[in-house]
Amino acid sequence: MSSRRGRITDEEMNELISKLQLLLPESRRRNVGRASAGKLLKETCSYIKSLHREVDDLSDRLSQLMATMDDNSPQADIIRSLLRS
Amino acid sequence: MQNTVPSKQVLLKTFLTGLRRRNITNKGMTLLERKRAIKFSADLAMASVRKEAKWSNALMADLSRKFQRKTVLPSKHRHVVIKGNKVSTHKRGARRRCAAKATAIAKCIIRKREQVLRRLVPGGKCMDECTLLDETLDYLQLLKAQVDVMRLLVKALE
Repeated sequence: MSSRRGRITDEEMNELISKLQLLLPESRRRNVGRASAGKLLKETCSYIKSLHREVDDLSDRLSQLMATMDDNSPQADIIRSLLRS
Repeated sequence: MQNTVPSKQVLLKTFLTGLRRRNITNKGMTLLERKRAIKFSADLAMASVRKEAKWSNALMADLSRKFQRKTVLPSKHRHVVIKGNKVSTHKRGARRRCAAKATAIAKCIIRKREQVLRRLVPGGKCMDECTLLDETLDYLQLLKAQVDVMRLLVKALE
C-alpha cells in the first residue's frame, strides 16, 4: 500500500478515507458526512487526542486501584487469573 | 501494511506482564510514579503487539529514551521541524484568483491538519502523506484496543 512515496493518488486517498471513517465511532462519523479529506483529518486528530486523554484517565484510575494491591489482595488474584487465561 | 486486528487477549497479557516488570505493587511508589509506569506499560504493550509498523518503532525508540532518562527532567531531544509549504497565489490573472484561492485555502487547511496528525502519531514527522494515513489507520486500531483493555482491567479491579 505504501509503495509510492510522495503525493497520494485520488483512488488511494478515497480508499483510506473510507477505511478511516469506519474506524471512527458513530458519533464522529456523522460529523464527517460525505468524504471530505479536511473534515476527516480533523475528526481523526480529535479522536486520537480523546483516546490519549482516556489512556491518561484510565492510568490514573488504575494507579489508584493498584495502590493498595499486594501479593495477597483480591486484585492480585484477579491479575494472576487474567494472566493465566 | 497488514491491518489485522490484534487479539485483545494478547494485548492484555502483554500489558499486565509489563506492569509486573515495572514493579507496580511497590508500596514506595507515589500515585504519579505508578501512573507513569502504567502509561509506559500501555505504550510498550501496544508497540510490542505490532512490531512491523513505523509508529511502533518510533514509539519504542521514544520509550527507550524515557527508560534511560528515568527522571522527570524536561526533554532536550531535537524537535524535527516541518517547514510548512508556503501557499502562493498568483498576483496576475484576477479572474483566476478566486478559484485558485479557494483551492489553495482548502489545500492549506488539509496540510495544517496533516501537521497536527503528524504530531499525534508516533514517528509521523518523518512519513510521507501516504504512509502517514496508512500508519494512522493502524495506530488508531491499536490505540482503541489498548483503551478497551484498560477499561476492562479497571472494571475487573473495581
